[in-house]
Amino acid sequence: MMLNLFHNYYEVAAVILFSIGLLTVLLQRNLIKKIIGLNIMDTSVFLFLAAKGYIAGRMSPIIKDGMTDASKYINPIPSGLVLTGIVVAVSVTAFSLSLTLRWYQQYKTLDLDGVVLKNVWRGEKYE
Amino acid sequence: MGIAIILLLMIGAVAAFVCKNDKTARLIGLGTTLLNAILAVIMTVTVMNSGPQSVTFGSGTWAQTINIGYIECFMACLFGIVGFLIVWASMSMISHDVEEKKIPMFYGLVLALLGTLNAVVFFESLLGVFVSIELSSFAAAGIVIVKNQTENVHAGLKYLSLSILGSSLVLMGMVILFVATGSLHIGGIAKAIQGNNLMASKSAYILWAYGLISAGVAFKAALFPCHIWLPDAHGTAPSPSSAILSSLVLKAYIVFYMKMVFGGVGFNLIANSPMRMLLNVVMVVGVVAMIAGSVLAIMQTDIKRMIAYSSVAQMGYIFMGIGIGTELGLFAALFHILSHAVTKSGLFLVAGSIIEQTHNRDLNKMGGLGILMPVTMALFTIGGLSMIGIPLFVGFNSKWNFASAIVGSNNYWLLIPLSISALLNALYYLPVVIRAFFGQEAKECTEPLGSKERPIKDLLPIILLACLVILFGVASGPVSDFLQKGIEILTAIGR
Repeated sequence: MMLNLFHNYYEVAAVILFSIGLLTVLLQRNLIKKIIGLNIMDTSVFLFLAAKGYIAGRMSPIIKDGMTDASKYINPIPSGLVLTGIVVAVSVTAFSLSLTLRWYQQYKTLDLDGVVLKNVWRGEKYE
Repeated sequence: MGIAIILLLMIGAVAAFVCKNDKTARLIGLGTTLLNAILAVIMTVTVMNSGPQSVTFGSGTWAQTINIGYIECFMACLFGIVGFLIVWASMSMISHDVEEKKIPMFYGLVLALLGTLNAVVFFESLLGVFVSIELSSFAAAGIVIVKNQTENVHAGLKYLSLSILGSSLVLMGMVILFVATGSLHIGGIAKAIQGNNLMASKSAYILWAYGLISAGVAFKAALFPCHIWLPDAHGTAPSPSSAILSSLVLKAYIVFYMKMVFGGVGFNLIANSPMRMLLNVVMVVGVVAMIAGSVLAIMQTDIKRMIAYSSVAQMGYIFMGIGIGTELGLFAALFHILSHAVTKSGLFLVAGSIIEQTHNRDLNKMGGLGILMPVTMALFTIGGLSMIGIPLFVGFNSKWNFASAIVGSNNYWLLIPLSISALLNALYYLPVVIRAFFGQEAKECTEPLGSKERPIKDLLPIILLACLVILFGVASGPVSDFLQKGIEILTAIGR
């Protein structure tokens, strides 16, 4: 059991990172830290994927010197998934950062729950 | 045809984004959703006549397949028709909530959202599904924030972070499933799991994968402990956005989950494998959500928040149906998707009309509204009665389906929470209706009947939604047959 954990250290690292990210998103109150947590989660998934796609002793899946023998290259699908995932993760980060900026400009704080809008639901703020 | 629908909505979205004029944007929104509804109905008729269609583009493992079976047609029609009615209703309501210069953006986001939701349902390959899920979370957060108040930014940030968390969990689950089965297509996963008997040799992988996917979908579809974003997002968003968010957006993820669980693992394996344990958890959490959502709804004083918490309870019903894990349970869950979509969109639009006309969202100050806005409150009554599950309304049929699924699977104890939840529904919908029509304020009201009513032509889409509620309540036979066939196709291996 322990030996398995040792042999698959990439996967173990990915799962640990994933848990760190998950807990950061759920437990941190600072918005920037939440976004960092999201990024850690995404990165851990990429690490997991890249580790799963790698086959020891083979090349990256870019055709070199006209060699089309598939057994010389690593599995390209996880790498493609990682690329797609990175694009999505970058846009997620950009969108959430821009929202965070607006929140900060309004309330001068990065804490989402600290300023909970007390009056909104009592109908006081609404016209 | 499926691609045509997605492309049409995406082109409409881009067109709405680039146009500067809010009138043009409204026309683009209305026209595109109408075309989308027509295309969806044509697609359904084609599929009924000539069987499921499948389109593949790309080759090898990279191939993106779009599979249009009965369930996909059902969802496309739901997105098309309910989406069209909501956008129609938004024509007269949106300027109350959204600034004029943001209106093109609103329609662009709505069309992009509908397009990505269709893509979530249509795509067979998990990569396509994942990208569509992420895009739809952007658009969904966008239509919350478009109102441009700080509480919307608050709700949008909360929604965005939790929904991205959900998609990351789903992605991790997909990756583990890919590692275990070597396939990124739901059909291929089904072949690997059911054909090669992976459930015996790699049950830990599959359980982890499905556990992570369930957790992710729970965040995205607001299953009870993960629902914390829903009341904020649905409560603060402009009313047409709330209608779209609760009636359509949540459902796309649930249908994806159904495809993964029932298309991937199949009924036989669900009954006799560790998957049963996972689905038991889903079922119990669904039951807790049914009760807790209703209890939380009773405690609300804000009309839109009350309706939003009621959505939490209804999501509990759907997850309970999935958790039962039989054909009847799946059927009941699918039918409840329809029932909740038509009812809840109507209720949110009615709430929007009330807020727009009276500038009041407090439930305690809604006495006498039956005199001021009789048609609007009648529509609210229809929606409320359907949610409670009174015969002749669609809510009764879906409760009946759930009850027969429960009896069919020998989980008799579930009948108790089912009936308690129906009673709790009555506890928060009926007081509003009673106070509006028969309360003290209604008797003392001196204003003429219907003095705050919106013009009937603005209310027409909501009236049509109420007609759908009654139509599916009286004649649900054709839809039921259609869904039964869909379930057969969904669970056939190597479809």
